[in-house]
Amino acid sequence: MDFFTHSWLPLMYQYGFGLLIFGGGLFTIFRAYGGSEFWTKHKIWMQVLVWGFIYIFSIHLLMTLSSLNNAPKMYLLIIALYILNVGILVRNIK
Amino acid sequence: MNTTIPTTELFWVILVCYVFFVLGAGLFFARNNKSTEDFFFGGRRFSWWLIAMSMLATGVGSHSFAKYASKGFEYGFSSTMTYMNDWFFMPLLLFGWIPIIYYMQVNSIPEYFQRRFNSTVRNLSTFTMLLYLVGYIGIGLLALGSLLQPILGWEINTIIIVVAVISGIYVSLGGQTAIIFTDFLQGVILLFAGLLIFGLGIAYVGGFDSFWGNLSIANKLPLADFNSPPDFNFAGIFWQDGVVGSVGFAFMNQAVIMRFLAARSVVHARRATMMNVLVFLPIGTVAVSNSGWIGRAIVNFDSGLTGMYHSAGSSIFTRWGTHFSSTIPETTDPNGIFTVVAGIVSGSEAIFAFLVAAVVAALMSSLDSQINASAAVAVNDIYTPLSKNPSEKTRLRVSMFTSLLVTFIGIKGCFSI
Repeated sequence: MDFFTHSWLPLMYQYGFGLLIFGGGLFTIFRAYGGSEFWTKHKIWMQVLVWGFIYIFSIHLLMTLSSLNNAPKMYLLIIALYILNVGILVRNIK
Repeated sequence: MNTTIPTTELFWVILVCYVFFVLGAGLFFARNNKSTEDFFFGGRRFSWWLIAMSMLATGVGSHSFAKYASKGFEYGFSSTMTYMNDWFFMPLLLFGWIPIIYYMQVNSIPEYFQRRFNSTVRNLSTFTMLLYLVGYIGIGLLALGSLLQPILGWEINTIIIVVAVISGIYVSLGGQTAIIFTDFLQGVILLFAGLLIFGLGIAYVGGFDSFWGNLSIANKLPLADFNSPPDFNFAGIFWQDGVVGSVGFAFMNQAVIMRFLAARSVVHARRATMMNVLVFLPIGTVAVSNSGWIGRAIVNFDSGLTGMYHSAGSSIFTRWGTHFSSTIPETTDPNGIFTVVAGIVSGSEAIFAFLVAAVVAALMSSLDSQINASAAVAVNDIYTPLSKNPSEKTRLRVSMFTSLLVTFIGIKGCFSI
């Protein structure tokens, strides 16, 4: 059975439009806060914002791969990613 | 199959203890309310971790346990979609909207609209906001009543009145401080209960391999099918929930806005939001959905659909003096799947009572925020502009009274649905 419309198509659609919305928001605040000044002052927040996007995308990607390839062990990777995420956020955002 | 659980002493002791604990918290924090600033914003002094967990508890209502367990039962892991698509608006929320409302020191969304536009927009916003909040209260109460009715065996209306009165009393007395502290604890309870039912469910179906093996590929995909079925397809959920719903909830929901404003600084509000979306919501979505996944695995297990494992057929067992079927028929009403799965997999009455308390906690933690938010809008955008310089003491009394009034209107609204 072909799962394209149930797996890769929604994934591409969500993160395609998601990137447009997310990138548009990032660009807007970057301009509104004065460009390089914003980067200097809020560098860690910018990194966390981009990390959050990659993190959520990775979870969906791993879940999709896990289902299509019947590989439940990929959930160990998701759990590891989650723990890494908690560590990154707790350590870096003050 | 009889799913009505007998109400023995232990079950009631646990539930009553929980109710007294919540009411006690309301009374305890009531002494801190000296002004409407305290009553609605808790004195704007809270740390990110309290705000983050209470935001989760506000977002996860009892309807979440009913709705997402139902979707999990019907469609599998894609029931998690709505909790996992909130990140796209975070740049605008964290660095656009939160600083704007925090530094403007607005008390409500309608007040923001007056400052940004004019009083006509404020009045329109007040009307729609109150309509939304009271409707939210009514639907939350109805969802809880429907969920608990087969467990308690009471009339739905009785359940609604009891829960609404308890919530109305502690919110009216304790205000935002009571809400934040009790929501924090209720958030922990509902997450723990959700994960507990997952663990018990996996043990019940014979371990993770068995759970995995008894779900189809489609059940395990994280996103819904692109354009079908009409009531649960990817494109619809993405635009309706991921885009419109996320913006509506995070930017325009008075209860959420008040949580941002209760933070001790903009940085704490940002950090709370970020931790909520990246750390708490992924666990929250598993907590509210997994009983549906377990239910699906049991159905597939019994029908031998997956071909991996086959049950020995339906068996009836007795627990707490009541007969349960160890199987779940394919025709089971998805809306009641949480109750059915909780009844089957919980091994003791104490655990079952705890799971029921968690569902009540989920409703109360959403309900209290909406009651407080409705009162804030009513006092800030209707009473204060119409009255002639009321004293702070009067405003506080009116706020408490309005909280009770809103609860009553919510009950009435619920009965008329």
